[in-house]
Amino acid sequence: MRDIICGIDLGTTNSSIAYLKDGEAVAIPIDADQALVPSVVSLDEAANTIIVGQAARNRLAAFPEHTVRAIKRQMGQTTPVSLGGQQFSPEEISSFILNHLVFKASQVIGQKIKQVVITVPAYFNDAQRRATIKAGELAGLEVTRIINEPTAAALVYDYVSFQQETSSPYIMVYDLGGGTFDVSILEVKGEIKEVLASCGDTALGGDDFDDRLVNFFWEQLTEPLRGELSLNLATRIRLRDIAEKTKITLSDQPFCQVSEAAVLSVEGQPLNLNLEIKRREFEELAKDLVERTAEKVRDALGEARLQPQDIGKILLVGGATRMPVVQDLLKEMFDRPIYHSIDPDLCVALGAAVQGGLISGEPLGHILLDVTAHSLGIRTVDEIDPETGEADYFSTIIRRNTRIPTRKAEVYFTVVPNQTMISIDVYQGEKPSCQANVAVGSFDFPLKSAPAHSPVIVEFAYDKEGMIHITVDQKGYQNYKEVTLDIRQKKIIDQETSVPSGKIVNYIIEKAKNLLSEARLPGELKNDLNRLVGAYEQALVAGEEDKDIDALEDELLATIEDAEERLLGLG
Amino acid sequence: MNLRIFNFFKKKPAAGKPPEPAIQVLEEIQDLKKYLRKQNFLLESFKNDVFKAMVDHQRPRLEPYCALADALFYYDAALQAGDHSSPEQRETLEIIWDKLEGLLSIIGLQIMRRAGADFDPQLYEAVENRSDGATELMVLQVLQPGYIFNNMVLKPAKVVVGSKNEHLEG
Repeated sequence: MRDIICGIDLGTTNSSIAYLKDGEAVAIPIDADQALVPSVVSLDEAANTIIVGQAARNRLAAFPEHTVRAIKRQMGQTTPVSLGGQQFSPEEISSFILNHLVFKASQVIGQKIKQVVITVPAYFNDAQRRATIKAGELAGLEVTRIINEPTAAALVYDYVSFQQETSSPYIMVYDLGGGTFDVSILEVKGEIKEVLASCGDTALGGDDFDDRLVNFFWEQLTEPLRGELSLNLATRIRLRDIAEKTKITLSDQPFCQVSEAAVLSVEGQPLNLNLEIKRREFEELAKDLVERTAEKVRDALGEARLQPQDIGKILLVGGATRMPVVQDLLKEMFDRPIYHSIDPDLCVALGAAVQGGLISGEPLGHILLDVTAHSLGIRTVDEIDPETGEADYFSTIIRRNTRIPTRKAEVYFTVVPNQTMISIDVYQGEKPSCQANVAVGSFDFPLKSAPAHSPVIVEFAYDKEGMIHITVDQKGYQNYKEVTLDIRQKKIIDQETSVPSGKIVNYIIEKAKNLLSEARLPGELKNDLNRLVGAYEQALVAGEEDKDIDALEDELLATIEDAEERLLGLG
Repeated sequence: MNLRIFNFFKKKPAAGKPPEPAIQVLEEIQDLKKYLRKQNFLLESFKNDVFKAMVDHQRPRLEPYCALADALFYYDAALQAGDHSSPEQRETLEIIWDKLEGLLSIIGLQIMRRAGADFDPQLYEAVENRSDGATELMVLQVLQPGYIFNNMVLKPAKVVVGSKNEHLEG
């Protein structure tokens, strides 16, 4: 069996390991099928064993004297780290993490791992890099190369199949992790990617965004009590969890309904958190955090002596870059393609695996990703075209290079009181004006009588067959409509108005209609189902011959069965 | 049918280098052992894959159950805080808990909500230690319930831990 060289992202908060499988970089699941392993090490003195990962993190508060995290911050220092009664160098602690990753990965892939490529931050000095190599050696590994984290990220995108060509040799890597932020600018010189500038903030990350939500929720809870309570540990932990879930929901949806029972207890009375938060509200709460990253981006550009227009492409790394506000910021600062289709949590380890493959001479294939080739959105009246005087603003719902299948929603508002209709004009492209983009479909959505500025949510669910299932929802009015748009043929192929249009005739129709609302259902099958359910319902209402109804019913039942099997197969 | 009869009374070859066919057989046995190990590994890996696929498939369906149990847990905790609940209310809640836990067990889901167990970092995440550096710890309070699905930890319970010895002495 041929020796392999694995790539390891030895991170401050989490670490991961990847390898080339049939020429494609893949992350290896380690603990409980998670590829991300907490970079925490704990010594169990009673059993005289070293514990690494999630179990070590679970011991952190229980045995703080025996547990260490974020050892990466101490790499290159000579001060030993105490774990209980024993002392270890930072390199030794890191070697435990490396050993855990390699040992578990070997079990998963069924092959011994002897050689690795390890990533380090671009700002690591020589001592820190040497310490990382030593950590690898202590783990019994041959460290074939140390590469910079942004370089690894850029490397993995070199092997993605949908790259758009750019004449600029400059790449910006924006890395917003859980607790740290780094921005680097690379210059591509043939096969070499040189780091021109690297800036960051070691005390800024996704956790800070969670904290803003924690504070907001706490204010909402205690406002009626006029701040007479203090935030205790149990409530803080609960609110952190709620905040994280909310942040994730708001990355895809414009609203999040938070319904949490008994978050607090005041004199035996439970206080519930029952509110709706808008993405815009959250973004407002975290505005200064995003601005802090923007400052670092400007610093990096200054250090590299470049202007925003000099940058060819932008790569997003780190889980917190999933927040739309980050992508909005970068879109505003740079009118350049933003790449975010590779899992931002694993991107660096995957890049290190690619580097390993290049060293060992393993044939590298292109990473085939299904992504949106263009941004998709609708026409709104936010801005008026100065030449035509028409409303022509292109409001993006799904950004270019988003991995599909995906589901994204945005909220819009009616313009006048009792507006009767909105026209959903779907476009694809990158220009702010719809006219400069390509029209791909259009349909009307009748509105129920409502005041001006009433919210209407438009959701795009883009499937792998190239169909976009569009749902328009007049929020709070039980009025919605579903439409399927074939993006390749640029035409609406299916319209299903789901305004409560009367009683559903029977359970077969009810079942069929439930299936029609299932976005994962292939378009062709959905068409068949839609046609049959319409014909069947019509036949029943019109009181057609029994044999005709029976024939339609048989066909409909068979299609329902087919659809259910397909969904089951899709998981 | 071909039957091979082994002659168990046949004399063993003299010590020293075994004859060529014996080496061949030994090598074959070694190879078979290797294949068997590989097959066992593949079988284990296949079992894990199937189990993972099953858990992944079930996970979205488990979330509403966990959310319901969470809500009851926090309501219960809120009532217990400051001893504002009557014995009858406590009894009512325990009956509801019994029924809910019975329901969860039908789908293979187990909730970790009770204090008193030994601290096991595979099941619990400690968020506070109230002992003075004790080595043997136990769960004093569960702040957030954890869940186990078919022996796999879906989410560790977040707990406050303390000295096991102190608790037993107390």
